[in-house]
Amino acid sequence: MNAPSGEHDVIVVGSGAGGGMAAWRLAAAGVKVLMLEAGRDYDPYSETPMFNWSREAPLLGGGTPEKDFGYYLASIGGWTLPGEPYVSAEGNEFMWWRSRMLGGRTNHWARNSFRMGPHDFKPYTRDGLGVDWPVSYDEMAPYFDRVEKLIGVYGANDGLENHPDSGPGVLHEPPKPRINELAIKAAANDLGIPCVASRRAVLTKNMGERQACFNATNCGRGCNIGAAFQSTTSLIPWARATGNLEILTNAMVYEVETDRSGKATGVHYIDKISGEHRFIAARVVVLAASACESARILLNSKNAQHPDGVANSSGQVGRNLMDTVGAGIGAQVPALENRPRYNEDGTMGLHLYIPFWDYQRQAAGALDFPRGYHIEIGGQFGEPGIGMGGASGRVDGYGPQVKEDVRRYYGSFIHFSQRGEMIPNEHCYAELDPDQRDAFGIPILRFHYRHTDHEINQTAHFQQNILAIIDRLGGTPTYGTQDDPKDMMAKGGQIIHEVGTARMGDDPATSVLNGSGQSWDVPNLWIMDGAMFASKAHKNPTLTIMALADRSCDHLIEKMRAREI
Amino acid sequence: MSYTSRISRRTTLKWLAATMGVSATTACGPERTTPQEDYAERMAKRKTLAPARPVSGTTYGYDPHLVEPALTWEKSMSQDQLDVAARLSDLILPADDRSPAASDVGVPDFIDEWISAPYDNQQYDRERFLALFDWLEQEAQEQFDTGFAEASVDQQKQVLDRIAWYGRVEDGLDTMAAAFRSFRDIAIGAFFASEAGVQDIGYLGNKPVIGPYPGPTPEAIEHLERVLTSLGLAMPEAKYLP
Repeated sequence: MNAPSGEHDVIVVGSGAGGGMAAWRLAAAGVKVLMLEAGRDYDPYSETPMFNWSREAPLLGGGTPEKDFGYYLASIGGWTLPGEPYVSAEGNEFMWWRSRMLGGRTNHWARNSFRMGPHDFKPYTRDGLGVDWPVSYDEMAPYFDRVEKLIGVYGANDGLENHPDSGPGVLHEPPKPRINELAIKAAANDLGIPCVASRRAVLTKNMGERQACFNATNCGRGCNIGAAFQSTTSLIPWARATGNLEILTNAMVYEVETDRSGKATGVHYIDKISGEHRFIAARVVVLAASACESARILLNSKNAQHPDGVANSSGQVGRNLMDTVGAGIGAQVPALENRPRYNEDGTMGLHLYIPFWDYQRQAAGALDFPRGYHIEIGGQFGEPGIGMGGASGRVDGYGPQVKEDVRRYYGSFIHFSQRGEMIPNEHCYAELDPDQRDAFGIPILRFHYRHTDHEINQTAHFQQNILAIIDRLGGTPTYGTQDDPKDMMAKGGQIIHEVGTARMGDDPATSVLNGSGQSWDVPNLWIMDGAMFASKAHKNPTLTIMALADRSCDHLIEKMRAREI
Repeated sequence: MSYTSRISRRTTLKWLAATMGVSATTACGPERTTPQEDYAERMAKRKTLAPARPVSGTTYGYDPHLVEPALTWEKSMSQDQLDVAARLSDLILPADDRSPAASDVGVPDFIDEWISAPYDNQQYDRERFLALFDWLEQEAQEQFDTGFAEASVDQQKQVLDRIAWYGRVEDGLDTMAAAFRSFRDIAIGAFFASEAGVQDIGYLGNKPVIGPYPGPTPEAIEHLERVLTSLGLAMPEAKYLP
């Protein structure tokens, strides 16, 4: 991965969900692609700690500021990165996750892959808030099918409102639920709340060189059998195999260069190893550096022609920042104490989940919040470690009873995570800090973030319904019982689903990109990451990023073939 | 393509039981003296725990080797402190018919690894745990003229009972009680994370299960059905069951 050969047509900045998809689609279509990744090269086949026990890692593998989610998480970086600070404006707090590695966050995401539905693409039409997308669900459905088929997603078609079924033969069989999931489902059934097979980008049947999940070892570590989707075991090697993809790692892009005609001519980057600043020309630039990083590059690309940054005549770059609304509730359930042991690893993630169910009453105005959420559920016989999944907090004193109590309570805890839609508001945005720069001399981002009653009331609804489920199971809440829902809501960026900072739309005055992901201002500049989202449905964004990138590539390839760009 | 199994296991966590034990001199009974002389003599003979070495080494950084982890800091507890930690963790987690005592699986050594780590959270625990060890030692000396590690189990319990139980913490000892509970949490985690602990608790995962995930065993399903019935709940639909 030395100096690029110069034989490329398209530069793709970033190598995660969007960048990986762009590289694969373009390379497969015969387009020469140069991918620039700010992080280091990463080889999941040799670097994944499959089957390592927690006891083999420092501090039993627990989290530290350098490894927020534990030693074995396949992330190089997190909410902090040495030399790459960011700030939040006074009275605001936003947490910005960066994974500096080939494949980015696809190496360690939860693989939850819920499909956006008809309501999600036309939210303004439904409730008068936010904006509609320039694409409809019907236009997106074939792309969702295509991406689900390509990456492999397990799940079931339950025919629920705004939770679309996939096409025939698209989904892999979902894994059988575990005991705690079945218990939650029994209570949910009783209360009229749906609890159905989850959807995750994890294979349950072999797909070429990628093997079916063998029901062990956490997906967050990465997956060296390719069962859990990540771009480094799929899109990137596939794209490389075409001979049309060249990759430059440790290449930190900080500016898009444009000419007088308003077209992009290439990008400036810093070679992080040598510290040299370099420029690479290209016919087309695709930004997929992650929502906030792509916005930062655009905002930093200021010149006389573009005083507010490239592609920003609308002033919307960095605006409309959204993250999933998150809150959590836990409980201890006496009925689950001392239950028979068996291997509950399964696919190491959700087998069941609770999709939003209250659309009808919401549409009728019976709810005090406009948008939906889903609930990720859990609680199982996990690998023992500090906390023992809650069991060690139930013991008292010392002596033989301590071991007895840990055995009794192990596996008797359940937990619920709200994952909700947020509506864009004027108080949420990222801008360049006027003074501070990072270790590479690039201006850093300053974040503004605030929830509104739309999100707060949604969390209250979540709390009320989950406490009802816990009560139906005879359980006792262990956390998440705050009187004020604001006190249990995750901070902006904490759910790591940040999107919206260069949104697509029908109107160049209020959006950065057209419905294809192409900049309104700079025709050969495209964005294919979470920045393009016009809304933040409660569904985890990765699948949608890939479906949109897939569709954008159709349009980009068409325009390149027609020599329009 | 096949999965890569772990290449080596860290051996640094192995607790050397042989290094534990008797380092204190036995206190001699005092001659006939005045109470003041008696007190002064006892104070003079009283052992204090040898202090920990300063924290040294580095954090493991943002990009440590995941497949072959290594400690990047030195352990720092003195032998005296390890002895107290060993007795304390064995009081919390004594041997029984299902598994050995905490010190047999290296819990004190993990405590040492934990409080020697140059991270803020662990340094916070370092202050509290070392203060807890000193307090246990001091109380044992004052009450029984012997170090905590050398005291009888009954004597150790008498000291510990002042801080160990909810609702029965002696006035003014809340800080020690909180330190004890944190120590207990870490000790329990380290114990059950050990090979013997995993076997004891019955964690059956972290091994490949080829083919579709089979779901719960018949025994586990029967148990669920029983408890759901007692709650007046119906079992989920058949397609969700094994």
